[in-house]
Amino acid sequence: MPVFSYTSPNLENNGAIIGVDIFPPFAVIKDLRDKQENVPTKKLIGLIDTGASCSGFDAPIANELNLIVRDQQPVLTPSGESTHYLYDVVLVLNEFFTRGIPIQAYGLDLSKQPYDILIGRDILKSCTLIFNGWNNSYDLHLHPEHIRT
Amino acid sequence: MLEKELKIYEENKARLREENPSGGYVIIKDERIFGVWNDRQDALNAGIKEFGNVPFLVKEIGEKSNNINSFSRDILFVN
Repeated sequence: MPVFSYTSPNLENNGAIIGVDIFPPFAVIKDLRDKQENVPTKKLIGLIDTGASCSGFDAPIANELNLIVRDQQPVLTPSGESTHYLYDVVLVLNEFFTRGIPIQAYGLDLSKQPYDILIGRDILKSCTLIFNGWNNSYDLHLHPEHIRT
Repeated sequence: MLEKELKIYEENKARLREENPSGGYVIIKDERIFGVWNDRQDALNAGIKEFGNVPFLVKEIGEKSNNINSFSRDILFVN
């Protein structure tokens, strides 16, 4: 499997971060291309979060990319259960030159965080993650189906 | 947001599950059930083609839709 290796002298504080490009869903990309309009995209800093079953991004990005809510789902946090809206998006883990990975993601307030998106287990289910704290590094192995050929 | 569509989904959930025992993704726009697709991306394609990039609901109707997402820490959701 292709592997992305990241080393940081401050891995303990920074966590496992990775560059991510976010796009609207494939259907909207196709629609925009058919109309010869630009496809909006944004480069993000992602935090790999094994404690999140689902991904979520900083909510203002939804307006920037003209994303539209397509569903709502309950979420369990230490404070209890609540229901929130979900957007369909496509993510590209740009260190891998991956194919776009379509997911549903929540809109979050990450304005005071040093990252823009939480990469949850909905992405990690296609990966092997090795967090090497002794070496201040982590390796992310991605399933070949997501690699651009 | 999507209140009408979610109400229609709840009213028709049992019937949709009965008619689609292997699950799928339903599209609901206003009070209209547009159809059910096996794949979420196919459903989105059909919805965008029919309605454009405007609000409509794409809802999983199988048992998997009962799963609850979780975050191991408190986080601020926006909506």
